[in-house]
Amino acid sequence: MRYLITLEPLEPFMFGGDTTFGALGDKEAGSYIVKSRQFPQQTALLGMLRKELMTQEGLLTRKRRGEWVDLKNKKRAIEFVGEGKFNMLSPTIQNFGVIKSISPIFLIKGDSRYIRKVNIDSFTYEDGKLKGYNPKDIDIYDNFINIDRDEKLKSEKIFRDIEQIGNKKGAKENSLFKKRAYLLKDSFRFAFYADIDYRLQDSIITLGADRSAFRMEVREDRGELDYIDPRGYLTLIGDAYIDIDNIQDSVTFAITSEISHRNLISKKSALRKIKFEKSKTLYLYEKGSIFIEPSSKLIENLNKQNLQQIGYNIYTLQGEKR
Amino acid sequence: MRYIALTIGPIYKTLQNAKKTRELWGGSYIFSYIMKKIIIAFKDREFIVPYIKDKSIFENKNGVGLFHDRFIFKSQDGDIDKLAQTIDEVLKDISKNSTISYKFLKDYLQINYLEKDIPDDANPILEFSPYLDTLELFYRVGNYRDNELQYFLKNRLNSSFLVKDAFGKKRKSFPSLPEIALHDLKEGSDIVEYIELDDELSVYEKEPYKSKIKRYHKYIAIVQADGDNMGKVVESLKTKKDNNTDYTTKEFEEFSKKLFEYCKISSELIKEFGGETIFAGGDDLLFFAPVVSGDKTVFNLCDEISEKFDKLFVSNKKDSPKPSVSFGVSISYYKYPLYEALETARHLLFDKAKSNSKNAIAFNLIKHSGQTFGAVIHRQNREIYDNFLVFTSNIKGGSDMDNFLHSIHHKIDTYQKVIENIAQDRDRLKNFFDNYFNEEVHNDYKSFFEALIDFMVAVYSDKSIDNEMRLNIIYASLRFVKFVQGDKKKEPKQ
Repeated sequence: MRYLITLEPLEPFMFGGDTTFGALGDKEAGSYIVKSRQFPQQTALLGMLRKELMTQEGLLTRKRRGEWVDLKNKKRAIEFVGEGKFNMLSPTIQNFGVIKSISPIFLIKGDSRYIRKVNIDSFTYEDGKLKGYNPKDIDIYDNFINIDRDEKLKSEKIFRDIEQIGNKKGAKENSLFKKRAYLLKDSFRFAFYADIDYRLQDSIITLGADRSAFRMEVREDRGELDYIDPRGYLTLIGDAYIDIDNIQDSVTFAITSEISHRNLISKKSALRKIKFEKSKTLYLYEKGSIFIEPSSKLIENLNKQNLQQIGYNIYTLQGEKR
Repeated sequence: MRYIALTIGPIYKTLQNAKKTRELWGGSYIFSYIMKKIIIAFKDREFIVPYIKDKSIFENKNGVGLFHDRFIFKSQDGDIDKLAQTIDEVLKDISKNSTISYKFLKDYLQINYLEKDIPDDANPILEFSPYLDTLELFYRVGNYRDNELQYFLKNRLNSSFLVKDAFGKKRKSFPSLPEIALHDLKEGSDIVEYIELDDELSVYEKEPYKSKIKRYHKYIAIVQADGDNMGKVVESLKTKKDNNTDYTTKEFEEFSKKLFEYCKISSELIKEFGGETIFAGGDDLLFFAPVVSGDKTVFNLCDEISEKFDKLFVSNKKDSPKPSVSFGVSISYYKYPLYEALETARHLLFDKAKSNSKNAIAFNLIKHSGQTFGAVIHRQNREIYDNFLVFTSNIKGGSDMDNFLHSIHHKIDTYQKVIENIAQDRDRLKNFFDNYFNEEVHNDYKSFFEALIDFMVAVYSDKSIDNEMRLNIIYASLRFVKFVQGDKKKEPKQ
């Protein structure tokens, strides 16, 4: 079944990626100020869905001291949502049970869908020059387009800054912190499509560094993020991991930004206490980046199927859709 | 005429996560270093930017990065290939002298360049800027997993090749935050001896400093400055024909030379004040400074820098806007993340100081409690500006300064409407304060009131500022004075 799943923030949210608070009082890795990202990572969405599916199917035990899958449910859980964490670099396609695919996250307001896209439409690229472009006048990266109507917006029309200052209890030093969280303005919600072989119900879920609450609404929908750039440029709809050497030789030009990816890896120790460590950082091309006349080599490199099933490396290109 | 133009980055990305002053410095200096090494290979070429005829730019050992993130020079046959080769050699050299691998550098650094033929009478800066601006939009994401540069800046910077290049044998590293913030206590003691490598801030707990420190010693200013209306100046430069009917780029050379002099002089002023320049290239300045130095504040320093700039860039075209300098001054508590303070300085500069008429100082003070205050002071109105400088620096108050300043603030707040009506009149304003602060006016605080009244008259006489802004300027200035002159015991212990 294909669904359109929307997430409405019920409180200010904090999406992390790289910088988090770190350990209390940690001089090196900790940070006094943490700023939320605008979107959650696709891996966070997958994790949320797997957990919610298990909850709805009754496979997750929740007690005050934590939540886990009882031994008696383990086999069924593995069948249901797959085993092990998502591996960004897996050479094979991982299995996530009833979750067949999820699309990149986007924004929705009413029946309009918005994606991030660099503001190339306001300019013409010719002979190495973006005509009319002056970085002092415009932030070309701060742009969202309505793919159902002719409209473009800046971040300030969608995201509201919420600043929170506090004091972490128990730390002698470095205890003051500042959070820059967001709320969505104007009845905007997050959204994504998902192919799931299960009757997923509406629910309240948590997402993000702070476990912020969202109302999740699930509707059957056959829709696609089928936006095509009017000039035939390749548009990244989801963040993308591209690892060819000398990418500049595989494209005429591109307007791109970088986003980092990091998640928690669990490390089991002999004492059976699970420790969480941050994984190494992977650097991705941010959704909304465009590539002009990409070579087939580049497109081949983009088509990493394991990543595409959970909404990474999704792009549109005239004549080809993935 | 054929030119090669180059741009390098990513500078701001590199400065993220900088927690110590030397990390901020190193992250910036390495770019200046790379540019210097590339330019050296072409030092016999004619450069439009930067000005390299004064060879001291290559031998500078006061720790300041003097090379901007772009250059343009007149190219000859084979230069474009030579450039590619030179870049490779420079990166290989860095990797030989540090823990950073060549592969990482090639992946991480965004070096873009092009060679182009342009008409002889064209303005090379205007011609090439759009190409460089465009090239910078294509950020090539690296395949590395570990940020080797960040590791180097955090762990291997002291006594590194970078420090040696910047300071020669003089220093092991860029000065730490306490060294800068405690500038006016340094007399007679070698503070460097007291500063522990792993715990720089512990020096605040040691004598001879502990008993002498005032509130402002626990704060540091980060200042970012940028020329205003420089685009107009560039537009007016011409490749003139000299007597032999050859086009000459002499005007550009003179322009770049002025920028070089401005950078040099500014660095000296900053050093004299007790500050440390992180970067000085083109019309860009970035530096740390103590809040107070002798009987001057960081605002006096900004004013001095502006004066030097004004002397160098005299506008000779009647109807074009006069070039000037705007400043973003972020003063923050010593435990506040440096990178955040830098971002604040940037925001103050570009969003506040440079909006409207420019030629302004936009400042913001972030206290330990997280509370902030600030204002934009326009230099255009010399009355306000000069009085602001006098008021914030020359005030020798009396006893119980904190309470006194608090009641002034409170009184002005309570009688806002009255003040709106009388503040343009010096006598009436004087009577107002005489009435409410009879004792103080005639005793300890006599000079304070004189300066305050002069300042308020200037602010209220400027019709271009609305009332809310006027009050904001007055309050922010009062709070600044309170911050500098107030009692130490008000600061909570941490």
